[in-house]
Amino acid sequence: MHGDAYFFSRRDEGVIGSFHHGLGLVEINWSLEAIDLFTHPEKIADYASDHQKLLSLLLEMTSFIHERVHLLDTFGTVGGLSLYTARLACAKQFLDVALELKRAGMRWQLPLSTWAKQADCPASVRRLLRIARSFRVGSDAFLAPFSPFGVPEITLEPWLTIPFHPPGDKQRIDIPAFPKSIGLKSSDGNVRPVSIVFPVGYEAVVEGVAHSVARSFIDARFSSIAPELMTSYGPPKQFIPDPDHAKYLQQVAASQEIYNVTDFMISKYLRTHGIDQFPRELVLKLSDIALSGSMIQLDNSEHENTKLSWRSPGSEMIGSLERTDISTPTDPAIEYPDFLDAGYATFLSELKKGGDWHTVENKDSFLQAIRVWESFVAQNVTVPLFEKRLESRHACFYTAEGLLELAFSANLPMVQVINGQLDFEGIPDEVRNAWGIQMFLGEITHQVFADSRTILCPRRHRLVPGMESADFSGGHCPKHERLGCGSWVSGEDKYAPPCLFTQSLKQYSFIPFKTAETV
Amino acid sequence: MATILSNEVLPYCLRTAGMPATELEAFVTGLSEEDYAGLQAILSEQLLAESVAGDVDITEPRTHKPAVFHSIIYGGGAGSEKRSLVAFTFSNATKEALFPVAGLLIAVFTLGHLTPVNLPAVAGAAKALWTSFSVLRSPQDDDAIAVVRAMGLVRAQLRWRDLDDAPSNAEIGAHTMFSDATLSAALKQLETRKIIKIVSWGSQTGDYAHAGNRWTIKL
Repeated sequence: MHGDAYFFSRRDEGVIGSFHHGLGLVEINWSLEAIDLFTHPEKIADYASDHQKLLSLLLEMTSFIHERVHLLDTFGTVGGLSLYTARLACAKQFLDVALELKRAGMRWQLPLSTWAKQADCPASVRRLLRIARSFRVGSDAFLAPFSPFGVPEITLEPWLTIPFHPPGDKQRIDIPAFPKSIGLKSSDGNVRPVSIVFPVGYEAVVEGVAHSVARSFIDARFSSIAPELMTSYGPPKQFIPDPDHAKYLQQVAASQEIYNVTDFMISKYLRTHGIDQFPRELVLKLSDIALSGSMIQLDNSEHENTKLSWRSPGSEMIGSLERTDISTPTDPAIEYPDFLDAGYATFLSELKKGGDWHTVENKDSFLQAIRVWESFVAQNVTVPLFEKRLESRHACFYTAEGLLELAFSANLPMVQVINGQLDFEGIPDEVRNAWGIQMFLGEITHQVFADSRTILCPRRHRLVPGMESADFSGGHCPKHERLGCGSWVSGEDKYAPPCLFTQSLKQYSFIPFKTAETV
Repeated sequence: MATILSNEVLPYCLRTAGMPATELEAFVTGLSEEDYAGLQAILSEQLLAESVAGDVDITEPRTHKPAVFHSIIYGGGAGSEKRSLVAFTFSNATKEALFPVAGLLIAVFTLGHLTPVNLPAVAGAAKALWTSFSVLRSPQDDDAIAVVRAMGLVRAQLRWRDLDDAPSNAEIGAHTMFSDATLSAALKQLETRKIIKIVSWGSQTGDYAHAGNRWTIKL
């Protein structure tokens, strides 16, 4: 539901990979040159004199690992899975209201916030609006997808909290953050100590894991590469100092990447306790404990009073660090809390009771697609990952070797987009169809929750990677796009050809079900 | 008020102006990528100009907040694919009713003459046409509006048959079902307003009623 729930790997000239959290979709864009280097590592010598080119290729090459590690964290940790499940729960809430409208012969009026103020608005729609607002606040607090900012002073504290005031909401939510101390050269030539403050939530934690694993892969594969090369994500950024120091500080802050934030935060904490070096595995372990102890949940047990609760991954990581025994400076002992073992075992047991996709009642029904997909993912992605986790006592999630093994060899079913081509790996045809239907449902729900007045087709408007290579109209999508398809506007009669978007609009009561196509 | 997304302007105009579905499909699917994009750009440019005049609102389609539409034609066409999607909504009902007809005319009469180089010139000519056309008012100018609409539809049919001919009095009359006198008066009015011009007289110059007169729009 949240617009920021996409994690992009960037290089200066564009996106080399992305992970679309709500869809569990991996996107990788890699060049033939990067693939060639991946399969022929000895060619690394060809790039000895061009570090920028080499770094760009390494990032492209490891995007495959980076994005797949995001997938593992999504379906193999409690935090990741709870975020995915909460998104599905929101889509189901939307679906329930849509069906209620359809039964009543009513159509959606958007934006939701405007309709909610009108007398004819059903109570369930108003409730949906409350859920949408709660989810936005909760997912912001959980993900902490906020931009870093600069502060003209430094602190020795390894972390702090920054206030988050949700728009139109009186509450204040404390977001954990890491203040990174740097020296900023001013236009007068002086170097001033400043802090760049990075919010630390799910996004920072999973990016830290993915980048760390990618670095481990490079270290193992290319012994000739200096470890510092991959410390940053992308080439060093060049800035011309602005005489307006405050403005310059914010420009520098806005350019910072979050891939090493958790690493830096842990380093700073341990340095204050006299530990200057620690194994990279420590970052992975603390991150996995944080992701395992965090969660976001839509509690629908009280029908009239849906609640959203969350435990921040950033806070969980800080809590773990504070509980860490650092009496032996060279070897901070970190153990998984016992409740996590028990929690995963319980989750696994409950998931296994759920049954696979083909056991879903009315599995061929359009409206059951989300349940088909949910069951498939639970049994074929999460169950194997949880089993491997428990078998290895979490090691497959806190060692680079374990995560690389999972990323390369776990044979998990996957929806991925490689260089623009949508590809389903290990997914039966019926489940692929269900994926498409629930993807449209999710994207429509996202737009309704975002208080949009317009609903856009994910295919027509390329809202999801790989859409150009997919067709949801029996091969006629390009023609329908020429004819102006792909949008719904409240109260208007738009061109609606026979396709999955139109079918979705009908099923979810945006347009009448039995009208002739308007051409 | 209708909301038109910036990537739907051309098919919206053709459909709303009354182009039959089969012809519409043949027309838009027969266009090259460049022609399709060029026509969308020219039509969007008119809406951009209307927004400056306050008769069209430009918004981000999802939030409905005001948005900026960067001119494709005058803002560097090469990067046009990176432009964000916007929604155009008329706040002037008369112009909203006239725009699809103007869009139809611009599309069917400029097609075949568009090149990346002459795009700004064609857009400028289209703007002049739209300026002349958008002053027509209903009901007093209904006949004239019906005649130009018929010219657009006839021209589209001719193009569909790979004919580069201009619509004749006979073809326009068959569409509008107007009497010779009504048709002559409407054509004369449109010519005076510099919306159309004669291509060839069927017989004597100035014989507006002749079935063989052929007309084009003034671009």
